[in-house]
Amino acid sequence: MTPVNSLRIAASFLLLMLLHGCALQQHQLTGMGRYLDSHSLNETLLKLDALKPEPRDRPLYQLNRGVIHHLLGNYQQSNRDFEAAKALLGKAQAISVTESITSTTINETFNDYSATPSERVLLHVVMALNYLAQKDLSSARVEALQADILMREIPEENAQLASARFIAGLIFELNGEWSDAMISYRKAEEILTRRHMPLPASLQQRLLISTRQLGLENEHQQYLSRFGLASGSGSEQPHTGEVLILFLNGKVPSKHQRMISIYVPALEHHVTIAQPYYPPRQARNNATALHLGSASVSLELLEDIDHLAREALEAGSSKRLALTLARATSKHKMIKQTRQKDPLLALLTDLAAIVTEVADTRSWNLLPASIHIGSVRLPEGTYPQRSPSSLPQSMVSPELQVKAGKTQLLITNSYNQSTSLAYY
Amino acid sequence: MIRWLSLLLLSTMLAGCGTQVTRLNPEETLDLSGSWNDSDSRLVAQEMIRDALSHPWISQFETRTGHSPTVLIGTVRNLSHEHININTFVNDMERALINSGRVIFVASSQERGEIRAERIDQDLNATESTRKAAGNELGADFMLQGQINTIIDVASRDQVRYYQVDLTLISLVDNRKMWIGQKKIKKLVENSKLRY
Repeated sequence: MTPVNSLRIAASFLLLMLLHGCALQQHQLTGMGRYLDSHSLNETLLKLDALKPEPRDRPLYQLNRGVIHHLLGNYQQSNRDFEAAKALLGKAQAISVTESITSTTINETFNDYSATPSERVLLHVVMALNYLAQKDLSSARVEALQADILMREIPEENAQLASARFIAGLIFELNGEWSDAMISYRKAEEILTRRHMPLPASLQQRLLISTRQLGLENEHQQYLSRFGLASGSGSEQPHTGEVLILFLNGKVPSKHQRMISIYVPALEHHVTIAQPYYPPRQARNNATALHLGSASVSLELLEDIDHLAREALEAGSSKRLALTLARATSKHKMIKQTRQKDPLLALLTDLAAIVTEVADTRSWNLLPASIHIGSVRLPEGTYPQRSPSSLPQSMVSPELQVKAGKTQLLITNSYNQSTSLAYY
Repeated sequence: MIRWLSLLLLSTMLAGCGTQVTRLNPEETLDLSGSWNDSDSRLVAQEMIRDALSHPWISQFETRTGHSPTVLIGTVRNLSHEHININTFVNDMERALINSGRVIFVASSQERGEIRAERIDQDLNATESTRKAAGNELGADFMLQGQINTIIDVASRDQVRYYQVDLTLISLVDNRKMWIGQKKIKKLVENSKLRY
């Protein structure tokens, strides 16, 4: 073996090890979803903090850290993480020259994590919830407006979120901006109708209240007839306050990798490629109701984030498959050529091709699987709170104080029952 | 292939080297993201207060009462799509108003709370000669209120950002609007479609 060849082989081996290390780094972050399945939020946060993510995975790290802090009720820290993620994701939207080269030669895990359209909008949704929980209506309004800009910027259906529209409507309503609230509630209704999802009763009530506030009598009557409600529904009763519950349920699935063998005519043989996939949907413990004293509040589905994640993966599948096939073909052509000149180098190149054939399984996998809403009007007073039926009954919930003429916003989740309560 | 990858590896390693800090003059305008920044806050505050002071409400008030008007800053609402630190904007306005020497400025409702608490504390703990009595506050003649609004037009990665700052000076005697100021800023933000 000549010294030049030895040097080449050593360089190839070193590169191989580096690439393998990069693939392992990806597994550490994508494994956080599975880690949360068997550990507490605090343990998951400690585990996440111990990671030293590569710059390309930094947005994902900040997103996951932000959502854990949200679930724990650390709203300020959550928004600090989300602000960092927002800045990184903004930069990652531009096309990278180096990433284009690495994704066509090695794999897509070398790309900066740029998030799916729905994830980018959900970032604003959770940030708005954080601000609402801190009674900072003005900052929550900023997030609602930023989500609106993003939904206008990205025309894909995956970026059109009913939860973002509903929460924007709620923020405008609490701010006394009924016209903007009405527009947002209408958009939420349009999205849910397009997705063939039932309209939650809370949204129906808000559409009725908004149309009445703005004097849109025809539209009000149309909604009454469509929802099958009697005239006067949604009217505010004296000495009562509204409790509006936003419940974040479960966790989206993590992506897995599967190897597929495909016949490539240009090579006259099969090549094995890696593709990401989500495991089949499992029946979830959907929260059905939250009990406030003797009243039971039905929690209805507002956003199916699990479905949005699958939809985003599906939307990119053709492009991803074409890119992976083109990459595999060029790798195999190169191996063939090298085999004739230097069998040992060909063996290492072959090994490199196998090691680097890794699917990009990154996703914001600590997001809740769904967002539910429910509302009830209750006479002024103090109410003991009981967990949604899906939650361990050992969880202790704070008592809820209902104030007449006020909206009590209860933000809660299936991991941590120490809910946040903000009065408006 | 290997040559390509080695080159790529080397360039990636070099790209991560070094942090550089450059000290800037606070008066210097430096636009990085296109968002509302310190320069916008300072320039809008200065221009609007200059406009407010150039209108006849001050001289009319002085002629009528024989003293300079006392002004209080009320709420300035952020209705924009950005997290704008309203405090810096309000402080810039206060500074511009006080430095003009044409108006007397009194503490806002939040600031007054702390001062009143201190007076109560002095009443209990300070000596007779240094104690400050309650009931000597200077009541404001006018309140300045305002809001910052934005309109964003988006196309692909480019944005036109239109900021409108509205300020209104209201007489506390009869709720009359004595002055309405408006300042508009329009920015074209072209985000790079390519990066390294």
